[in-house]
Amino acid sequence: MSASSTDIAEQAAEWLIQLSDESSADTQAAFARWQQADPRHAQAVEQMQGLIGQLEGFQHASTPAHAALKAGMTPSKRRHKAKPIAGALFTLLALCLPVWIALQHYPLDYLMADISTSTAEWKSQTLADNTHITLNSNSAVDVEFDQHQRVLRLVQGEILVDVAKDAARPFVVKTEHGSITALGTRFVVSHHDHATALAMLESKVMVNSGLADHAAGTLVTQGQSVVFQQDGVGSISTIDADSLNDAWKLHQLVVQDQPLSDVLAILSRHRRGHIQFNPDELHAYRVTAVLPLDNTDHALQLLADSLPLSVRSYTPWFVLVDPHP
Amino acid sequence: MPSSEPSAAQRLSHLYTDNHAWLFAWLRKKLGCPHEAADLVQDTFTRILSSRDILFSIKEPRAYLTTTAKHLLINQARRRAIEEAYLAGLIALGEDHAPSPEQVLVAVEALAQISAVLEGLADKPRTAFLLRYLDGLSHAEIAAALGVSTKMIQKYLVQALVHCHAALGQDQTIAS
Repeated sequence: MSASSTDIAEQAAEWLIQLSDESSADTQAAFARWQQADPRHAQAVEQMQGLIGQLEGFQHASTPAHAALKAGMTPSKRRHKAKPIAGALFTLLALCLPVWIALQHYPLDYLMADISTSTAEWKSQTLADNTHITLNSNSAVDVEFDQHQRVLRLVQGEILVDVAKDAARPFVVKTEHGSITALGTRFVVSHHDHATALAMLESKVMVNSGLADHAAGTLVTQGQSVVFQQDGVGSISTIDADSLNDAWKLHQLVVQDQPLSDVLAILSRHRRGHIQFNPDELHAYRVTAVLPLDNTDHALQLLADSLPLSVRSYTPWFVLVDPHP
Repeated sequence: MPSSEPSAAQRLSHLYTDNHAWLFAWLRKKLGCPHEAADLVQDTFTRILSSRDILFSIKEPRAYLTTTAKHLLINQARRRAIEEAYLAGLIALGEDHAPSPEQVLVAVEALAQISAVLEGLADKPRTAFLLRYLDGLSHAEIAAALGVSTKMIQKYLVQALVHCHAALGQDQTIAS
């Protein structure tokens, strides 16, 4: 009566496992006798010991070996069951993600605006009344002109406005934070999340915070800038109107003693990729510089040259900026 | 001696001329790289060449060739995944002396064989098996780790060895 190969394998395995825990002389001797009884016994043992030996050979690097074996094995059946759901979720995510990213980057207001620019795009346009506007990167405006007034609604980003004279119809730039009534002027309006900033290049405007048009506003004249929110107009500071004029002509960013995090946020708007930074870590650094907006790589390099920063770019689409350790 | 039956060389030659072009085209489309596709075509025919039995028993050359090529493809992908994980693991260990390319090749070869053999083994026996021989834990330690009795661990280990023995017997090309 001869044992089947499965029986032999099972016996061989039992011997090896028993010996791997305790190996008294008696057990060893019994095991030797069993091996000698049939050449197939010894063969099975040899094969199993070969595999065990291979595994034991990796004991010095067990962690990488575990990882490698895991990578080499297809997931077990239980995980297969979860796959359709995971697959569906993934598909859903893959379908929704572009939309989500687009809405993050370009909110609905922006997508529906009358005039808009995308990242790293500048656009100049003459409106019906001969007013000349230039949109900075990632900006959007709605034009609402009628017989009584000319309203430019800045939805996002930054514009340079060169207002054409029209005594009958006042020219007003509105943002969610308030309004700027032009009195024949050239100025820049920047829309930020929490506030709107105004820089006067020529002549003067009247600024009203909030959405209602108050009779008495704040007068801002050439060479001055001001930041306003819905609940009030901040104090007036001075700017260099000439260099700001040049900046718009040459697509530069002129900053005077501004927090680095604000500057990076502006550069980020001009960049197709993402600039990652922690505002809290960088708030202490202040920047006074003229930076090229059409070449943000160069702008980042200029910042890194003058400040203790590390600028690491992983792909053209992802740059990480943090303070030098 | 003339014979109506074609010789092995003639069979292979026919098989090669009849099927080389489409197999290459198929693999090229799958892999997107003509060089890798050409290599794999070669490997597929080499595999057939290594066994006269296969050569004489092929009834559906196309089906056989695609199956073989797919097997090789999976093995290749498996090997690549293993190599990446192993090297990443070694780097994470921060070993001072980097292994030579030959050492890596041998290690990856062995790991690919082990992972192929362990394929299909249930989670618990496999975990017990690796803890015993890769991590060198005792039966009692494994029992504590998995929260089962020592007797159960011994059962798992026997089960694992029997499974591996069967897997090794099934695929002699892996065992060699």
